[in-house]
Amino acid sequence: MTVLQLLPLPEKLSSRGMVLYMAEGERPETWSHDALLTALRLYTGRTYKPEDVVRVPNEKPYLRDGGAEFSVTHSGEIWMVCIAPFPVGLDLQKHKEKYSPGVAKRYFHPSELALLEKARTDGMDLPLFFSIWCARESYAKFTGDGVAGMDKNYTTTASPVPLYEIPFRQGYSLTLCTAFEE
Amino acid sequence: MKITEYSLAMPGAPALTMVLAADLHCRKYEKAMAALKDIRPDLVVSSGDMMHNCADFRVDESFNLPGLTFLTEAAGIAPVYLSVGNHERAMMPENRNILAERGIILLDNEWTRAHGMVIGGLSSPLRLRYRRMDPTPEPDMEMLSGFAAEEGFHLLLNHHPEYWPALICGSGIQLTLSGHAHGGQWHLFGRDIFAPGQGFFPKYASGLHRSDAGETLIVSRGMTNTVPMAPRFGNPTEFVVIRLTGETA
Repeated sequence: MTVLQLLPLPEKLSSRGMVLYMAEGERPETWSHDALLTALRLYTGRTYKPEDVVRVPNEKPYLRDGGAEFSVTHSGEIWMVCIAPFPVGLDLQKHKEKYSPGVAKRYFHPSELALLEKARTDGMDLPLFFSIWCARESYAKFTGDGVAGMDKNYTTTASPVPLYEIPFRQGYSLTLCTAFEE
Repeated sequence: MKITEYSLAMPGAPALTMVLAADLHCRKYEKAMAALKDIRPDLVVSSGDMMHNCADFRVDESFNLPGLTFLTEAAGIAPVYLSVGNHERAMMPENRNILAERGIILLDNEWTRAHGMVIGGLSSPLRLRYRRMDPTPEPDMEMLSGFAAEEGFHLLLNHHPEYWPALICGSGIQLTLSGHAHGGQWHLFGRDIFAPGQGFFPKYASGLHRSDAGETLIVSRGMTNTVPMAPRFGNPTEFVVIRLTGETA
């Protein structure tokens, strides 16, 4: 059985009905779907079946009845879902011991590479790499276009959709990308 | 079955011979096994879809005997590394033990350091019963990023060749081996015709592709025909042999 834990969110987000659930265990990809159905039941009060979650390649999964928007992520043994009445993209990254400059060059915007280079002189490039990666993934999940479909001009330093870096455990980056009417 | 040989001189690569076994889909493998015994490679790598069952998928004796037997016999000749194709995607956790007991090393969005290189397996995210015209969903980008960050020569087993130009090429992964496209099923007027995830006239359905930086993709045409209603044309099944050397030519 999956034990879900509610994580704190900035008041700006929680006051608009957004929640963030976390669960922990080995190989989250094997129980992710069950955990999602449990979280959706807790949030909406409705019991969903697996087929109620519609999955279309290269699109965000969504609830057939439109009961809520959600975004799932897992890294290492941590699994999370963010559920809200409005679109959301969530990404969690467990920091590794090193990163590939080739990967940064391949995916990051020049403005992000410049920041990374600056951080390298202070020895802070490793956490920054994962923060940028995490933020980019959260945006890709918000739009539903994925990393490959991202606008080449997109940069986390001037994101058209607000990014929220959520404090989590040391050695992890956690970012929410979401937009709602003020 | 055609045996295609590539000799690659790649900086940092170990000197060894490997065989790429792809897309057997649990069909007959006698010719491939005879070739394997003759070649006696240093290792056998598979980019997936060695199993086939689509409905209640389980990698077990009754459903997937030819695929499992081929890999088991291959493991008696050389170490075998298997990555996850869309036909292995729904593998139940207990099936991992079946593979391990038979000496088959499964790389499911993970990597290992062996044979003088870093060998990674990027798993297919496709469940079965997808529409062939749909674009392939994104794989585990966290795995790709972590794998590319490892030092050394990178060998990536990646079922979907369509990932290479958009997601893999440019990240420093020297050699990627793929299948899935079945050579485009038909090869007419010098062109492969159709591949799932790439559509008509796919660019990455067979052969060797190289980036300006020297990153290389080899796509196997696959070891079997899975579409009896529209048999392969000009596109023989294929067993790929790769001879690597670490020196530049």
